[in-house]
Amino acid sequence: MPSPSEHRPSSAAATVSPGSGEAPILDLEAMLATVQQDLGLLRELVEIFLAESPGLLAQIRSGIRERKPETAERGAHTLKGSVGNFGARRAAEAARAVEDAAREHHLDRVQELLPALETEISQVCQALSEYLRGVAS
Amino acid sequence: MNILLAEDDRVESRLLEKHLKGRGFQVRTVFEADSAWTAAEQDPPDVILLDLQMPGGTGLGFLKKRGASPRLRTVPVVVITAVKDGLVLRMTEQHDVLSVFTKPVDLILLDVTLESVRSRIVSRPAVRPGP
Repeated sequence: MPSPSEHRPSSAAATVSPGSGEAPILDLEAMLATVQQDLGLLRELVEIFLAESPGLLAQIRSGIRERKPETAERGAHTLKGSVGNFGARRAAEAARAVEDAAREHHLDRVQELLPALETEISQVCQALSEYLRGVAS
Repeated sequence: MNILLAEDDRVESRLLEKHLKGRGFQVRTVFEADSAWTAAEQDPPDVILLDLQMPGGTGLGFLKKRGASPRLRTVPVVVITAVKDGLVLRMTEQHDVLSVFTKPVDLILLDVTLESVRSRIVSRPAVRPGP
């Protein structure tokens, strides 16, 4: 049976930042360390995240729309924790910024920060999907 | 050993559940604070892994109720939190929390903590029926 390292794909999207000086979208080593090299579990966690993240972003939008900062804060908090498991530091920072603004009840600021978070989450989802395809191939 | 895992982040909860079951623990997973309280009261676990920020209540609320519950106040609680700041540390000191882990949870340290609980349970003298 091949070792986990033999399954590692060489997907550039999973490890390389889109611009110089930026943190990578994902940290492959951190991801594998989190699941203790269990690629089956990693696949399962990625599938959970891909299914859950749209609902969490919707929760933030709902918090803005309904003027409920605690709802937006909770969605951002959960997103921050989830992406942390994949070493997605940029997405985690974007989620943290939204969470902080919501905690301070600055919903206008949440609204301003949300597009950046949506972009980061979209990139994480894309990179995770590419990673899974790389593992499968 | 029975563990009640209360964590609303589905990624984190699945990760912990899989790990803990792999270590031979029985795990019940709940995603909301009020569900955690109901599950704990109905069938007190040997240890509770508690996320401080969940829908349906707060971890602090859970800890306060636990302190007032004769059935649950001796059940060890391990807190999982995004940030281990002064507020969290004061809260956990006041409410007799066994240990505090920041996310993502260090599974090796968690194993050490849970094994210490398990060894206490195993070494606890069995209650023998009277003659």
